[in-house]
Formats: sequence, structure tokens, C-alpha cells
Amino acid sequence: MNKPVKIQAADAAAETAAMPLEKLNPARVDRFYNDTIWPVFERLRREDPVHFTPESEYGPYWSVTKWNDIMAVDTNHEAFSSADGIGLANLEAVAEQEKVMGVRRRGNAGFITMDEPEHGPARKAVSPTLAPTNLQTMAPLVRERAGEILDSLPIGQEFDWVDLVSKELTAMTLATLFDFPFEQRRKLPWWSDMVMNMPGHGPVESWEQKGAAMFECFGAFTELWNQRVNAPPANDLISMLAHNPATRNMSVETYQGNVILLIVGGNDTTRNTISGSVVALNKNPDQYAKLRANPDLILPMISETIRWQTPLAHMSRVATRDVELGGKTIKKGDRVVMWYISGNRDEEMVERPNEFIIDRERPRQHMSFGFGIHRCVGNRVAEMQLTIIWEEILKRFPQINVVGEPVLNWSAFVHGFESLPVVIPYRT
Amino acid sequence: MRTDPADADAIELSLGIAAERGGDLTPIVYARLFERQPEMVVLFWRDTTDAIKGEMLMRVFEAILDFIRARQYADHLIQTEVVTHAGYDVPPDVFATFFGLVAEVVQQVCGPDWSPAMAQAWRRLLTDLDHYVTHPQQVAV
Repeated sequence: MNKPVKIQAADAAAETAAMPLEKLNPARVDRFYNDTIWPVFERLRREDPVHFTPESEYGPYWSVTKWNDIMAVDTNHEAFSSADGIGLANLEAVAEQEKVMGVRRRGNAGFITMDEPEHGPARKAVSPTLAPTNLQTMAPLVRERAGEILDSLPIGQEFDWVDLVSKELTAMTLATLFDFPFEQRRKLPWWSDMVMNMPGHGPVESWEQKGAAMFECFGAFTELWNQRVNAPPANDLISMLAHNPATRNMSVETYQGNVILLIVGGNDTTRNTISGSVVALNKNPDQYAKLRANPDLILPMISETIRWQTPLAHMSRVATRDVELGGKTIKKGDRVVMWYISGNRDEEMVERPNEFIIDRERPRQHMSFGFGIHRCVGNRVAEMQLTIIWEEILKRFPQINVVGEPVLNWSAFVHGFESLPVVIPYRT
Repeated sequence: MRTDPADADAIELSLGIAAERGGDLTPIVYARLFERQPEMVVLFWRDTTDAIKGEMLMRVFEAILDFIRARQYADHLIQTEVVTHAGYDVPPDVFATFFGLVAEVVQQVCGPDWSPAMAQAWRRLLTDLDHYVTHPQQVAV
């Protein structure tokens, strides 16, 4: 496996500019790790917005980099299937994982990897729990728990914001949504990290350890299923899956896929936006000052962070037939990657897209939740958590200072943070 | 069927006039929606600043503009929005209502500049849009 090596932004930009277009592989993970991806996507949007990479660690794939082209793919589920997986998979990693965990169908990650007509009823089994009306009931509990997290933070001492705040808040919310044993909540983000990382990155030390973690996760959720299926229907996600006619007879593998989808989906977007907001506000102190002066800007600041950070960099599909897009012919069976992280910086759709501006005229103009039938089912939960945590932060802490280099994820899919050293100098 | 270029011109002109005269149409559009479909109010409980409503309306305008010209994505977007909103218990007829009341508001704001050509173009547009609202299943071409 590749080991992280720090590369300077200027060197990466020069390398990108000099590289023949056909050699450009925007999913190279080292660029994400080093935060040097931006020149690649700028060049592609300018010179080759629908771009083919013939050879890579993921096999051949198309990259779609501009807003309207991404919308065209994302909303056309008839021509672009999700059934064979929604992320680029490193072929070497897949082979290694199969040696330890056995062969699993590539796209088996719950309803997000289903096509119609199978997808709709399966998604609808969980969407009521995540709908705005249900969130209204849940909001006071999230606020209470967010307050507890913030009140426990050290003052005047360095700590890891990712660990003590971002992971903790998402763990608490996910435990509530699953009605998962609250004292074991930190297993949820840990399992998410085990799923999303390869050995040598995040908490994953070996394929065997990763396999063991997955078996532990599936075992715990099988137990929850057995409890819920034999109890009266309740309002948590597992009970809804266990009692809904569309999902109660699903295969074990599909249930496990749904569990992973909900854990990872509920974890990464929110967690990395919480961390991303602290980073962005520290890089842009004028925007931080604006926020402190006017807490009504919390909601637009959250949206701007979701755009600026783009916590899931891409989603991918497989063409079900030949499709013309941006003057190129995508052949049936070709893998197509929608780079949300690039669409969110499309100069034709977002003014001054590389800048972090919390009072934009259209703060919610971003594609981080995707579009179409697979649009993030938990987007409102994510926004609610993020809004609440910032409302509670501003009541307590006028300033959170980033005091060291954040460590980014080793991933071209999850665009986030492994760690973020901060100091809170004082309480209000 | 693709939108007639003359209809597209008339719709674009009406939207241009409405934007110039009416500014942000969000409050007036959603006031009408909530008057006709009061059950929608609760879905926006977090939207105290109208930001969510405003972005949804902008997306509707962008979808209309894409639909009448390049149609890169709007037809599919409308179909998928019908499907995803059904998951939040928003019935498809709300979409039909919404497009219709957008047309009403544009007409109202245009005032004396609302022309017969605009009226006819919007009428045809609403019929075309309704096809995608009532047929959300995408079929192979």
C-alpha cells in the first residue's frame, strides 16, 4: 500500500499542469491526503470536463467534473446504475479484502446500491425516521447531548477536535437513531472508520483486524435485529427495517449492507463538516468574526462548509447503455465518477468558488448531498446536528483555535480529517 | 417533446421581468403554497430564515430554464424529486400545485407586461412538466 508522503501544493500544481491530459487520474489518493487535488479538477473543468482515465488502481473510469454534467448523470438512474457500487474501489484492496472476508457482491451496501424498482421501497423504509417532522422531536435531545460534549471539553489545553467533538456528536446521534446501546456508541464511528480505511490508515492495522471488526459490527446489529423484530414496531431505524414489509425479509447480506450504509453515511458527512467548519473559519478569520457578530449566519455557514469541504468527494455509477455526455460517448458497462468536490467549485455555477464566504447570496447551492433518487437520505439530520452544535458552540466559546496541521483522510471518497489539534482559550 | 423556441423565449422573458420587478419571490410563492397545502408548513420548521425555501425555488427556476432549453437534466430531476419527496410524505400533486403557483406569481409580478404569448407558453410548459410529475418512472430510451 502507498504510504503518505507530504507534497507541497506548488509542486503538485506544476506536476498537474505538465502531465499529459490522458494520464490524469483525479482519484490519486495522495493528492487528497495532501490537499493538492484542486489544480487537477480546475484543469479538467477547463480542458476536459468529461474525462477518461484508461488505467488506474481502480481500473478504467470516467470523471464528470462540471455541475450540469454531474446533475445529468446523478438524476438519470435509468442510464447510470448504482447496483455495482457507488464508490471507486481500489482493485488491490478489494482482492486483499476478499482473501480475508470472502467474496461479497461489489455493490452490496444497502439501498444506495440498488436500482429501481427495488430501491424506492427499501429507502422509504427508513426515510420517515430521517424526515423533517421526526427530527423536530429529536432536536432537543441532540441539543442536550451537544451541550454535554462541549461542556466536557478542556479549556486552554490542546486536544483533538475530531475525537472529542466530531466523532462524539455523530456517535451520539447515530446511537439515538438506531436506539443502539448508548454506552457503546463510540463503536459506531470506529466501525465506520474500519470500513472506510485500508491497513495503515485510520485505525486499521491489518486486513484481519478489519475483518474482525466487521464481524463484530454485523454480530451486534444481528442481535439488535433479533430484539426489534420480536418487539412491537418502534421509531428507530432498525425497528423500521425489521417491520417494514419492503425490508423485513431482506437477505442477511442486504441488511448488513444497509447497516454499513447508515453507519458510514451518518458518520462521515456530519463529522467531517463539523471539523471542516472549524478549519475553514480559522483559515478565514473575517468570516469567523462575521459569524460571531451575527449567529443568524450559522445555517448559511453550515451550507457553505458542506460545499467548501464536500465531505464525500465522489459517487460513482455504471452506464447501463451507451450515453453521450459532454461530447463523449460513455459505453455500456463503463464506470462513471461524479466528482461532487469539483462540481462544488464549478466557476460557472458558484461565484468565487474557492473562497469560503458564509453570507453568500445562495449559500445552499451545493451538490454535496447529490441529486436524484440516491440524494442523501440523512441530509436534514446532518444539517440539524451541525446547526445545533454551532448554536451551542457560540453560546460557550468565542474562539476555537486550530493550533497544528490537520491530518487528512487517506481517501478519494471520504474527504475529511483524521485529526485536528485545537485549543479553546476561554469560555464565554 | 422539446419546448418550442418561441415559448422558451416568452418564458425566459417573463422570468426576467419577474426577477427585475419582484426581487425575491420566495415569500409570496411559499405563502401561496402554505395557503393551499397547509400540511407542508411543518416540513419547513427549521427554515426560520427562508434559506431552504429560497434555494428550492431557485432550483425550480433553474430546472425550468434547463427544461425549456438544453434539457440536460431537468426532466430527470423532476422525476427523481417526485420520488425522493414521496419518502417524506410529500405527494406528487404538490409538485403540480407548486409549478402552477410559480406561474401565477410570475404572471402577477409581470403585471401589464404579461402577454398572451407568455400565457400560452406557460400553459404548455405546465402541461409538459406535469407529464414528468405524473410519470416519475424512468424508462429506457
